[in-house]
Amino acid sequence: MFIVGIDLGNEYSQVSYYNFASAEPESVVFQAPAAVLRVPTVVLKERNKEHGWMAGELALSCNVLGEGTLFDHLLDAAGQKEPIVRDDVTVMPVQLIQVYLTFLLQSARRTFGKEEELDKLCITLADYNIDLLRVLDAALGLMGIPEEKVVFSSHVEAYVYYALSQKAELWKNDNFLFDYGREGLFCCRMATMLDRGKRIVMTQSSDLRDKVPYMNDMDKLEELLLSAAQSEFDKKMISTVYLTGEGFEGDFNCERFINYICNRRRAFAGQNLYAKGACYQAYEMSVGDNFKDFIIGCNERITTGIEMKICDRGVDKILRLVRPGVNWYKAGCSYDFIVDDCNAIELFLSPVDSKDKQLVKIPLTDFPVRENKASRITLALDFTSDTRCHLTVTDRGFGEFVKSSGKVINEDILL
Amino acid sequence: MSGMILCRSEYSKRPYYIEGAGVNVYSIEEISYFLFHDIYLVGADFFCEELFAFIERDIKEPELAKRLRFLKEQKAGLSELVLTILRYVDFYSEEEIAQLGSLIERLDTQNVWERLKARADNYLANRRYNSAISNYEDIIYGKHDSSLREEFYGNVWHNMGVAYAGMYDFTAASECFRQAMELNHNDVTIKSYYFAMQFIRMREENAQAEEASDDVAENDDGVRDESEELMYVAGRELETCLDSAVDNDGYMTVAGVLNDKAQGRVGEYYSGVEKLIRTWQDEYRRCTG
Repeated sequence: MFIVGIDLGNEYSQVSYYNFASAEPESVVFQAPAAVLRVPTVVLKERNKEHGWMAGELALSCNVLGEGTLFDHLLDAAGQKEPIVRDDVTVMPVQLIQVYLTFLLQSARRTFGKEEELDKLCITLADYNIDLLRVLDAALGLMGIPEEKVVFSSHVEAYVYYALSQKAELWKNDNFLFDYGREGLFCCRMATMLDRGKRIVMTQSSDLRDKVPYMNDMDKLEELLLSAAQSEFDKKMISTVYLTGEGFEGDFNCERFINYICNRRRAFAGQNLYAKGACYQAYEMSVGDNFKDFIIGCNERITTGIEMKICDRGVDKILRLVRPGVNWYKAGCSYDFIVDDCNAIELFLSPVDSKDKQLVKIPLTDFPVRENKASRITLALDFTSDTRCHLTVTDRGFGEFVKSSGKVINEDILL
Repeated sequence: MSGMILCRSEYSKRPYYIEGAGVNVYSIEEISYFLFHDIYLVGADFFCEELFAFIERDIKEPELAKRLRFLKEQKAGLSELVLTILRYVDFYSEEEIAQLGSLIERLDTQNVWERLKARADNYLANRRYNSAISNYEDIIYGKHDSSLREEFYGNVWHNMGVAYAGMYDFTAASECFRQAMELNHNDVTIKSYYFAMQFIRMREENAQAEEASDDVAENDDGVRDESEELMYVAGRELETCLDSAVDNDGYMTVAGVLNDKAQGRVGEYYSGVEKLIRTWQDEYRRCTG
């Protein structure tokens, strides 16, 4: 099986594939023997060649030689809906992403060493927004990769999958992540708890980019990092710490900070945490079952399940429309129902950390009154974030027996 | 079993055309609805390979299609085929399905026009007059079946007359009864014709109504004397009905409302009028459904 995780960044990206022999993700190296794991997120359109494209370091080199037109900051470009024009080259953002993702997958396949079809791909992003996700979806569609083989995740999710894939003793107590890059410091605390037979994983993120910006002054940085760590760790049982990001590389030397975070804790540093986390996530979502009793309630994950009272094959049941712990993008669903002596839809919202269910009643009084079992409705849920979903109920009539009124009920539900 | 019934099967993009009913269906729920409500139009030929292919390929229920094909090969009865679909969808309760099963067994012995008449009679019994008339017209103006006697068609005309009378269209009703008399030579039809003409006269709709009351006696040379006696009996029956009308619930309700007005009970009067109008509106909608 060929399972891939990609950390897609605006300036740099990383790739890993799952090595079944070692049961671990392996990072793809882009510049041996320097063992550089990061590759620039750039593509180059070759001059005088209709279908000539390059990507990564090669694109940068060719650009220096004047062999084509360079397109960089591809994720920013993806946010634009208009074609991108550079020199005399016009190209749609989705095509740039398609070229770059094709390059990343080819690099992964080359390192993997086998010509196998892709089984699962997880792409993790720092900026998880619906516009970008739609462009990525479109690019993957152009590449012929079916939707069901692709998972998108936020950096926090990738971190969670990475942490949970380590030995249990490392995540039984709280974990902490410091991500220090060009934009400043970002922190995340991960905690788990057992509840009714399920292990619930929650995270709490702290955006400290203003408090701890990127800097070269090590003394000042040490003070700020130490202060941030003391504040974040106060009254918490943190047993494992992860450090990632450019800011912790090279000349980084903040001894007091390192001593503090390592005091009676395990600490790990590395630059490919997100790519490997994405790979772990792709593995779990295809063949893995290590987390079948876990409910992951971190950022971008829905933490409130949505259920509905229905009648199925003559028996009253509860239909789970949305399961808690799933990523909100593509968590939407659609079901058809026949209305039988019923004038409202009853939804139950059940937060993952509470036994109480909240009832939400959606009246159907706007729909025409008809005989029982002669009305078909379509109920659709679409998510725009992990806490907000839009409910649509459409009157479909009943084929040619009863004409549809065309009426639609719209309701926003805050979770 | 009320509430939201989950639709498990696909909603087809391409419909299946049910020829006898002239309707397209797109789902197993619609097929079930058709079977339950229009069972009179369903014969053994309804269960054909085209239907099975539609169920398998378009609604994506291969298991049900396989079961139906097997039953058809085993020459199972209409009842078993219909109930297999109804039980598969579980759209209707066991009581409803059981009632339908007995009806199907009875219908299995009838031809399509007899089944259509049974359907129309069902509408008539439920005072859905427009639907009843539409079905009776299909029989009368459709292809005549030589295996059915004139009496059958006479009875269809008669029932259509009853439907028109139910909507107070006594002119149309009287014409239907006239047509019926020529075919079924039935005393009930003759009396019904008389009643219709009397109501016309009472309404003073047609100056020819007085002449028409003699038409019955002249209509069929062979029954002139009997119809005079029949007219006498019918006349007495009508008088008795009119006399006892004041004891009718509907009459008493209207009388009560008018009495409220006479007694100056304005609030009760307007409330009563509103209720009456709503009742008549509901009745009108049902009758013309």
